[in-house]
Amino acid sequence: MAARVQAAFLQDSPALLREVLTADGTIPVSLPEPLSLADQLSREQTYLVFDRIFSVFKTTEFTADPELSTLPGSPGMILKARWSFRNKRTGVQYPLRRLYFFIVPVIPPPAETGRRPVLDFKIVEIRAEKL
Amino acid sequence: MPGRRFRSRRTLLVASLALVVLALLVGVLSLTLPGLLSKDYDAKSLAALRRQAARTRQEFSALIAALEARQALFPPAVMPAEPQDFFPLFSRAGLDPERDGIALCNGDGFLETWYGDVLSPAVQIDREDLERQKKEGGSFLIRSKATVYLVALQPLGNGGRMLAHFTRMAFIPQVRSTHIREFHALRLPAGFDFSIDYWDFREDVEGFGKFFARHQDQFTGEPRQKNEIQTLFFPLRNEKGRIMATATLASPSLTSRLTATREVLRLILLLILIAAASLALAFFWSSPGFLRGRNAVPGLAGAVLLIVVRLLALPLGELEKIQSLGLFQPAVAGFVSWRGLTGSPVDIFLTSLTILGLAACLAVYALRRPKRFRFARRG
Repeated sequence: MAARVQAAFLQDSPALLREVLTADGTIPVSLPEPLSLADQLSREQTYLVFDRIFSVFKTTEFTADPELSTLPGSPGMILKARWSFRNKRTGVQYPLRRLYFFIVPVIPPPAETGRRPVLDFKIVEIRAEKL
Repeated sequence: MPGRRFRSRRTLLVASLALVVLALLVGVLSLTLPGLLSKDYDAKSLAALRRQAARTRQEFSALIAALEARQALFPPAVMPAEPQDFFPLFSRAGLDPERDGIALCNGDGFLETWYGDVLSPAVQIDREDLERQKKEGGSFLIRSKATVYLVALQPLGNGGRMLAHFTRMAFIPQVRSTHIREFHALRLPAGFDFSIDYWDFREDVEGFGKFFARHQDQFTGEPRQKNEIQTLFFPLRNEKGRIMATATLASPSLTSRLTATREVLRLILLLILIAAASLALAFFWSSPGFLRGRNAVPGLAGAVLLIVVRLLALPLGELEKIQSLGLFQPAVAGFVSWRGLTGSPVDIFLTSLTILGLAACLAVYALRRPKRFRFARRG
C-alpha cells in the first residue's frame, strides 16, 4: 500500500492514486496552504483535484513510513508520509508536509473464476499539515 | 429589412476577423515580450524592490502620522474632567471600532473610559515601562496574543491621566481557516513575496540597529545565480527612529515572471479567440439559407465553430489565475471524462451548452427544411 501511494506521488500520477481511493462514500481531504483545501470529495473529484495539484506542483520528496499505525477499536490504519513539492511555474519550493492517509481493508466480491478474494486496502481520508 | 440583416451579419464577420488579427498581434507579443523582460532583469528587479520598500515605509509612516493626527483632536487643555464625558468625544472622532481604539486611563494605566478595540495599559505594560513610554513619547508596538497594536500614549497632565490611542497593525493567528484570516494594516505588495516581523517595544532590537547602520538602512541579498530571486531586508521605524518592524521583500525570479506573463498573454489570446469564434458562429447560424433549412453548410460550419469554442475554453482551467476561481475547481463539482470536459462546474456547464447548441442546430435545420427536400428521397 505504502509503495503504491509513494509511486503515485513520486510519479505525480493521479491515476495511480485513484486506484487506491475508496469508491464507497466521500473522502474527506484536508490540505494546508498553498493547496488550501478542506472538503468531502468523491473518488472522481479527488482524482481531479490531485490531477490539478500535480499539474502545478512537482513532488520533490515523498517518504512513506514503512510501518502503519493501527487505530484502536477500528479495522483501519494510518499511513504517515512526508511530502515536499515545487511549484513548476514559479520554482518556489514548499518544505515538507506531513501527510496522513486513513486506510481501511476491503474484501472484494468473490471472483467468477472461483478464486478466493484477495484482501485489498483503500484510502478513506487524506489529511496534511505543515511540519 | 433583408438589407439591414445583411449589414448586421457582415458586421459580425468583420468583428470576428478583427479579433483574429488582434489574436495574431497578441501571439507576436507573446514571442517578443520575454526578450524585453529578460533584458537587465536583475537591475530592474532591484530597482522595483527599492521602490516597493520606499512605498511600504511611506505607508507605515502614514499609519503613525494618522495616530499623531488623532492625538491633535484631543488637546489636553480642553479635555473634560469627568470620565463619562470623554465617551461622546471618542465616538465622534471617526474611528473604526473594529480596528482602532482609544482609552482614557488613570495614572496607573487602568481604563476609565474607552471606545473601540483597546488594551488595558495597566495589564499589558509594567509600571516602569509605562512611565518610560509616557516620558519618551512616540508610538510603539504591543503584541497581545495573535494581535499586534500600534500604540501612542498622550499625557493629559491632570493627575497623571492619559489617553491611549490604538490601531491594529496585524492579526497573525496560528491556525488559519476561511473564518480566521491573517490581517496586516500594511497592504501586501502585489507581485512581490513579502514577510514582516513586528517587534514589541520590550524586545531588544539593538542588533538590528547595528546591522542596518552598516548597510545604509537596507540589506540587499545576493542571488546565487543571474536572474534569480532577489531579496531586500529593511526596517520600519517610528517617528523617533526606533525599529518597530523588519520586512523582507523578495522579487520573483525571471522564470517565474516569464511564466506569469506568458499565462496572462495566453489567457488574453484564448479569450480573444473564443470571442472571434463566437462571432463567426453567430454569423454562420444567422444565415438565411440555414434558418430556412435550405443550406446545411453554414449550420455545419457553425457546429464546427461551436466545438472549437468549447475546445478553446478547455485550457482556461489550466491557467493559474483561473484555477483559483471556485467555479473552475473540481472540488466543487466534477467528474472524469475525455480531456477534462467535465472537470469543473464551468466545464460541465460549457460542455452541456455545446451539446445543447449542437442539438438546437440539428433541430432548426431538420424542422425548417422544406417538405419537398425532406421527402425527396422517398418520393
